[in-house]
Amino acid sequence: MRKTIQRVGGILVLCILAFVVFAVVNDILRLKVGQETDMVHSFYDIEENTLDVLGIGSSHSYHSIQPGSLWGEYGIPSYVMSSPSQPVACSYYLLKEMLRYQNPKVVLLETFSFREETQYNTEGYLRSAIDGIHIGKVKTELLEDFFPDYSWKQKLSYYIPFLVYHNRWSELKNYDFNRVAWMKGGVLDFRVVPQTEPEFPEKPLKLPKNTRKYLKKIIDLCEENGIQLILYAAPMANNWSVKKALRINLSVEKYAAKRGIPFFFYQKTKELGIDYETDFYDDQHLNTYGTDKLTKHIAEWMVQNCGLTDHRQEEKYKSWDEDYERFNARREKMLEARKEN
Amino acid sequence: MLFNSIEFLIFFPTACLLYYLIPHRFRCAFLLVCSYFFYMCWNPGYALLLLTSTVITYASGLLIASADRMEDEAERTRRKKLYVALSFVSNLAILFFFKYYAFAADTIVRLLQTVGIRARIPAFDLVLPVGISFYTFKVLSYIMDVYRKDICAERNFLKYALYVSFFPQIAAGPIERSKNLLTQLDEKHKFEFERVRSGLLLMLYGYFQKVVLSEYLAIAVNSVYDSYKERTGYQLLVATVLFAFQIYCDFDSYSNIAIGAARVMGFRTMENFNTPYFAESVADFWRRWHISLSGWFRDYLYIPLGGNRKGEFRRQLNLMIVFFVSGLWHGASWHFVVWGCINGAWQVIGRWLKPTRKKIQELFHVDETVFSHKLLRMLITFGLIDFSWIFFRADFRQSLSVIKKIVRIGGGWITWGGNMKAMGLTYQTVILLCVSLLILFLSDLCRYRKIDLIDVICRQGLWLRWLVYLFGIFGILIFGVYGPGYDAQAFIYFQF
Repeated sequence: MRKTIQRVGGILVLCILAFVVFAVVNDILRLKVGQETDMVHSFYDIEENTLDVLGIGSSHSYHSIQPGSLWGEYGIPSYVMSSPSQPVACSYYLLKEMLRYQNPKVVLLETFSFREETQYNTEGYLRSAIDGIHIGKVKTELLEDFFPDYSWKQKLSYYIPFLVYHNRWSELKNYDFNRVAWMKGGVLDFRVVPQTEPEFPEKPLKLPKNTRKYLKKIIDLCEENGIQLILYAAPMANNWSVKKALRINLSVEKYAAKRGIPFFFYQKTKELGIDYETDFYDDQHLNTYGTDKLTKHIAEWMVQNCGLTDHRQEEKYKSWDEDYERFNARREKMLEARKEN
Repeated sequence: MLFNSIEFLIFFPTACLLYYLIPHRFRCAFLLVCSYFFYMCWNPGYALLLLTSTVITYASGLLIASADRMEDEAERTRRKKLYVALSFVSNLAILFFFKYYAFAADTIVRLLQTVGIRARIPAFDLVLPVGISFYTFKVLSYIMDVYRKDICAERNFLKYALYVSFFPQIAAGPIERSKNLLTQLDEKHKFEFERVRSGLLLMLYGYFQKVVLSEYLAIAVNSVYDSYKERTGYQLLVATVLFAFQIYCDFDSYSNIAIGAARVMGFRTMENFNTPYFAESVADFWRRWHISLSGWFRDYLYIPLGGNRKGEFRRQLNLMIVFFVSGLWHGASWHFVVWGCINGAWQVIGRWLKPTRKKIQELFHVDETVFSHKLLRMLITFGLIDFSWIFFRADFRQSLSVIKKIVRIGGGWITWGGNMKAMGLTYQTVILLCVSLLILFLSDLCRYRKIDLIDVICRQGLWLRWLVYLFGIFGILIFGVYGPGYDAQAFIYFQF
């Protein structure tokens, strides 16, 4: 009997050990969207009920909102839970998941992905958005919604992304071992690639059915939770997708006006003073110089209109000051390196 | 379901747990249900074929046993032979129809075309039932054993049906003999920690062979063989050597998982591979490779044909017949037959050259017991076997092209890295393959020297044992080829 108990105990300890090893290995091998910033995953490192602002949307979202600056200059605790080409449907579920842990006052939704007509573009983009969501009610609901005909086996890799990413062992980088939650989902990119300003279209393009469906869900969710939803379209340079995106945004403008939702159509209003020679790092995205302009504008609007207060002196947010110092040091270092070059 | 599928990883522990929890008297029926469930996961309809073979041979066994009780010897022999013949014809007819019909029809049409006759034979779009070659041979061995009175005919249908369909062995063997497995079905298996652990470790090693080694080797081999026309002789040579290890790992992995799974439930099954690439002759290789099949051919074909009792010529003819049939068993295609015949021919030629070899050895005072001599023999044997694998991997025409290219190796000596990249391998995967092949070599070396590696591991201190377990599990989880986007390559032997 004693031997049996010893053995059962041994097996249990071995299982726990294996589980711990699995957790470590899984964390190293999984895909880090945004590399070290690790946008969706790092969200869970934020202390519960501390965020005032949440950014969701595509790459245009993390290339337009800088959480570090929002804290450093305005004392606004924020997080950008974005991913490349994040579908609106995924933004909705990410918001839903986020609301299980946080109670933000403002949600910033970037509108670039509104042009997509399907629930998701490619599996890669879909996985970038949802792999990080913890196993639970929201993930199950999302998978039921996206893949109603999938068997449990087909859905398994969405619950256990390790099944997909275990082969990353041959391509591990430094950031796979050192992810940084202190960037709060933001990125720093000082590359400058001069661009040209795109022509502004006149005719709007109808919002795709799918976008309307999930945008409505996001609006309803925000209303239910007393959250101020802000839509915005980050400026773009001349590129293959700009015309369609701008035409869609003309429709978003009408839709937002109808629903009484603030919409910042920066390409149209030109209120940021974007310099196409210095504020882009490619033909789609703002660099950090451009991001700073957009962040500043939207932050001041939020402070004036959304009742956001400065949390910098609060004990609860002490760690945010430390994170900001690291962010600022990284920023200064990158700027210095740029000057030297 | 495949052994390397998520379904099996759920099915097997559940089946084992229930097996040990339910009372002994229900276990046989329970395992039978499990085995049919396991088989029906591929194609539920084909379970009827399995059942048909089972019913025919079960009844034949009983009829042979009843004939045995007849007093008239002539009538007894006639009846017994009749039942054996009926059993063989019916089972081989099913096998022929599902596996060889299309091949035979195609061969006949082509033959008739060569003499100017245009013929049309109706075609059937049939999917090869999984494991049909294995369980057909299994039931035929039972009939022969009953006929030879090596075993008594089994009266309990459930037990016999379980012997035929036993899930660890149903898809790809080993082709277990009835006198080994049937007798174990009455044993009351207790949960013995050491035995279960040993079975699980063997399964773990099998998974390593399949999911890591065989799958990575398959990437290199397939990339070269699938575009052999554009490949250099050097790449084809490397791919051919790698294929020898791929097919070994593939089939040995299945056997190890099957033997390990049976061991976890308390069953002792026969070994199927015994360090085949340490063989010192082709005949030795076939004593070590797919032992359950080689043994089947020896006992139920070679010996009944006269074996080596009817002179040298008949001996060599019998060898060629056995390897012809063995080739056909492996696949319904002429290149498998060529592969079998080459293996038979190596042995026949080996016998012809034996006197010359002896003379040379005497002339140069070669000591046959020294390592260098053994190593040379192993390398030559490996070369001969690997040559035959070309015909196993590719069809006849492709094989000839591959051999031509390998012989005219000139112009193919490009850089090592370049070759690996062209074979679909990265620098990291080459290192992984080298380490994995080293593990395979060391494991086989231990087995060759009669060291039970699993026993050695189990006798170690806790920290080392656990380290081995964790390295094994996570080595497979991390480095294995599986998961979405990857269509788990079916075990090579499933097509036979």
